[in-house]
Amino acid sequence: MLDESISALPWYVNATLAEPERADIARRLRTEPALRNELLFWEELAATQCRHMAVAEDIALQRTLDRIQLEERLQSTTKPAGWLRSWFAQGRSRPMSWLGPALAGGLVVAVAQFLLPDRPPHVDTQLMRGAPAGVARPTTMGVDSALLRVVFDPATTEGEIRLLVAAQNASIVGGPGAGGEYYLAVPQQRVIAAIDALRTTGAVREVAGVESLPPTRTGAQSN
Amino acid sequence: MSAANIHAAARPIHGHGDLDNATASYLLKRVADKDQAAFVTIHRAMGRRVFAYAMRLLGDHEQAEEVVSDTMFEVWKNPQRFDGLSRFSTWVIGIARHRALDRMRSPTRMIDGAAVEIDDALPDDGPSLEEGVAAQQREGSVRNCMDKLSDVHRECLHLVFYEGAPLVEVASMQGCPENTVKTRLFHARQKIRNCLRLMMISEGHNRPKVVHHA
Repeated sequence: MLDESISALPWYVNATLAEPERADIARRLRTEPALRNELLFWEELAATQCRHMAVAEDIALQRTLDRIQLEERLQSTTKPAGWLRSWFAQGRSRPMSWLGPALAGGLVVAVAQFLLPDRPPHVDTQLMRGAPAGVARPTTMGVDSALLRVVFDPATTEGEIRLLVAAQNASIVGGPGAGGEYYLAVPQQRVIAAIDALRTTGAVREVAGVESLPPTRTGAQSN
Repeated sequence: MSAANIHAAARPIHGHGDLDNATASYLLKRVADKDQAAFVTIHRAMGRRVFAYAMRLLGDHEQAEEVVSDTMFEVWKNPQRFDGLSRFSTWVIGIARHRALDRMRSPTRMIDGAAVEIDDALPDDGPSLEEGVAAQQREGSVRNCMDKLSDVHRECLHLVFYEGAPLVEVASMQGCPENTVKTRLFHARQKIRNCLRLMMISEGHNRPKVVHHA
């Protein structure tokens, strides 16, 4: 069983005790040297605890603002355009409101089939500089994907990386680069959750959204 | 100890300006309207404190910065979750706690970051703490010993002395009864005392002998 006064000393030091308790300890401190010694010890710990923490006021501020901007960009790209929303909104108030969008959609499909050649759509893929063949072959990136640049902890195995990537419904579209960075394509609607999840794995050193893959270094694939 | 008295008396003792709940609520309302200037104000008020807390737990600058960013991003996304029942700083540190614990649970950290536990049952027959340690070495030694405490003891000391948190809030944040918090601090104190004694003994053994010539 701890002595009540001794066990309350830390809160006497941080000045958060209720007045009756504070007064009681103050009274005992006047007569009990042992309690005074305890107080000195706690005060020393408190002083040490508060030192050595000189940190810039803007610590991580830019990083947080970047995340906010990334989220806002993603939200604006996933929402339908204003004119489209208003057009559909007007359409809902008319009789047979489904007819307009259906006809428009059918027309677009018909025109597209007529104009496009009979071959798979071209997808811009890129092999990252320094990427050894067979380690991380670039895969495709859809139009509704966001791009993340991820640096994994060097101790993370390839298998672990693949598991982490799969868990986020992501795919590796580039890397590893010279700095060990990978580029992941992540569904737009999952990108914030994926960043959060990757950050908390402990296997990821850096993760950030990027606009595009870096340019391929000339000659990187020749050897 | 009544909660009302505690809240009235609560103040951080680290010297940083604290955001009172009324100001914080006002700023959070503006944040809910996506006002970045208000958010920057909150970030500047709390960023260092979250960093200090995360650094104390994780001991890694980069990870501590990530905890700051994660925590403040959560504030940006969900400002309405602050109910005003606790201090604003307690709410924010509570978010940081979850983020830091996520990182501490990661397998790589559990292997690399195993804390060196100090025995808190060292016999009390060593040199006294008040003798032997030079003042300029003393602070470094105390810091070293504090760093060797377990995560939960380090967190407890930080919340009490850096955050200036009342007992009831420390218990709430650590998810344990108030008596457990007191016991944790008691053991932390014992471990630090014993660690200091061990350091003094070790330094005594390693100190080169000075030969006085007559």
